[in-house]
Amino acid sequence: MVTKKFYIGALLLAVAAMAVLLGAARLYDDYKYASIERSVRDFTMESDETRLLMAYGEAFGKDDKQAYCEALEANRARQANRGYTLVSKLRELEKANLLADYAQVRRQYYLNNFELWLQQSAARNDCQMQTNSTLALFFVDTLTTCNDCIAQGELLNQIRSTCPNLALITLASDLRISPIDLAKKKFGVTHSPAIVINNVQTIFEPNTREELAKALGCA
Amino acid sequence: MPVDTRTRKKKQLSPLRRVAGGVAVIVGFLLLLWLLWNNPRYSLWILVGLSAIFFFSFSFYAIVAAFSPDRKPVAPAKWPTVTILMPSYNSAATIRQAVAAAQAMTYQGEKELIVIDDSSTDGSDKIAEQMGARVLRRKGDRGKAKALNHGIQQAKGEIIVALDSDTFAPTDALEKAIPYFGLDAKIGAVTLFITVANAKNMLERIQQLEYYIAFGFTAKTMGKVNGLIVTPGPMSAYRKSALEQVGGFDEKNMTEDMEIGLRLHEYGWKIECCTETLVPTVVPDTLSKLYRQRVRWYRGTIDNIREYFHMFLNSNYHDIGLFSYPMTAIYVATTMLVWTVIWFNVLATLADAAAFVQAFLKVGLTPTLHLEPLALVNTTALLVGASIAVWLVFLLRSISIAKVKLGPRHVLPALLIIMFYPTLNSFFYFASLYKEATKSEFSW
Repeated sequence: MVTKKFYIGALLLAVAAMAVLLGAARLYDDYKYASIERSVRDFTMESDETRLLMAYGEAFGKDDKQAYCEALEANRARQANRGYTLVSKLRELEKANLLADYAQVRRQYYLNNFELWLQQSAARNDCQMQTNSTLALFFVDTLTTCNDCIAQGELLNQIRSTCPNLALITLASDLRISPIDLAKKKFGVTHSPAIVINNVQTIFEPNTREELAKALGCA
Repeated sequence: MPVDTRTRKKKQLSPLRRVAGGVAVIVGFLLLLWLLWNNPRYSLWILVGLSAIFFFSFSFYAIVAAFSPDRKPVAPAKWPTVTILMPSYNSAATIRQAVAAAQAMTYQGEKELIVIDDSSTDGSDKIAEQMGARVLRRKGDRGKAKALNHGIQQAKGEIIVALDSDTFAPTDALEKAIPYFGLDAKIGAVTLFITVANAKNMLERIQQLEYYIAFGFTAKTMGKVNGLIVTPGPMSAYRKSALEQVGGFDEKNMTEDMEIGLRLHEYGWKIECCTETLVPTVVPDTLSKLYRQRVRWYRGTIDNIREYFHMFLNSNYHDIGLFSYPMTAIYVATTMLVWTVIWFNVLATLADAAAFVQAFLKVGLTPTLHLEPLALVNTTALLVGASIAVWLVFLLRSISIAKVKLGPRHVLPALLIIMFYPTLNSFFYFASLYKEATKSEFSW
């Protein structure tokens, strides 16, 4: 004989168990998301700071150009330090995620990077930043696993650690962010990984440390 | 004995349909892999769905175990006569011990032992005869169900006990199991707690834990709501009149012990579960033997699911129709799904790792993994961890029912049964589905 209350009880218990488990999963996913969001927010604040600096430069920069350029250079060094590490953190956390939506934070991060690149490019023109400094724009795929991108990113990171004058900025080439697509078109970036050096030279094939260090002026 | 012809009719597939069946299974598997390859996150959602089914199933067991009272049988005033039927085929290695154990069973009523020899060539029939057992010899067309049906026709007992020739019945098995028939005149069969006789190597110890769960907590709980669908082949007791009414064992079925259980339910008989005594049986000691056994079991299960599909979510069959049968069918389907998901993840990880290493070597770097600590514990780990915790509760409850103690030597088998056995079983299910789709031959 069927005892309906057993089925109702089992259903309620199963729903409760799944709710607890998925609730825990949601909390943990949110916690992970919050950690990456915090990093991106810090980054955004730094970009805001640079933007304000540049606005200040527009208004009063000519009065004390050296102080303005020094402040800009200090910001550049701090932001460029982030290099590729946030990209790999974002990738790993998103892979282990079930319930949080990373689309927004991912987009925000690469928009920030794009702005950083624009700021760096403008600063190079305004202040003629050290002639021995290099601006490297690194295009990677983010929606699919791109091992060549990971390996090249790791190599760039290593070079960056011994070459403080290298500013490394990563952009997602597959997110259909219109300003990034414009930059891709400008520099002829057709696939990833691709590195644009000093907004002039674009290299595609994965390179060894020596080749890359030489191209980046870090040999 | 009348024959239930409905269950005797089996489809004979043409060679073309057999090939088409095999191709369909392989293409289905590859399609699923392709889907997962392109959408890796689907595997996570599949896991969530499977966990939901698993938790519903566990909850049902937990509630039944907690709120459905145990039924205590009382010793009958007049013990029914019992016929023990022991089908045997080339079982010289075990039949001496099996017959001795059967003869040593104490019983206050009348009992007889009949060994039905199924054309053995290893002299096992003579061993049984020397030990004083009555031996019926069958020639030609072999099969356990055929041997049992042959034995039933010769049996004098009101109760038929089917006992395998590699199963060593404990002395109190009859005295514990037979009183259950007195609980209700509609009880057609009583199952017993089957355990492993030869738990020596790792594979046998893994099966030992598996048997504890299958025939311990889960069987006892299902017995409370008349939800048992398998009368275990190693040893089960049947009311002879029930067997006669349903037409005996299905001689074309690979798992006659499951088919007879379903058919008894179909005719309105009930199945009780006796867990008060442990019945040791010999289990496969190598992977190839296990593969052979499981493919036979699972092919039979798939065949029975198809044969009795009218029971699916059918309240006319009470808890069998609403829980046991659907859960068995879902278990078969999900096990194969799990196997696909597991292998997808294994293949994807290996392919990723190879591409990762290659990419690093290409640029002259030593492959290095930067593990993100927060990413190490993820939703998969959470769901799998919770499922393992539930499984451990099942195991502990079963151990407590069996009144046995497990030692340190069972830690590794317990880990393997969690980490490795589901994959193996899923593979067996997939192989069984393939063989069933192509209707390949099988033998006892």
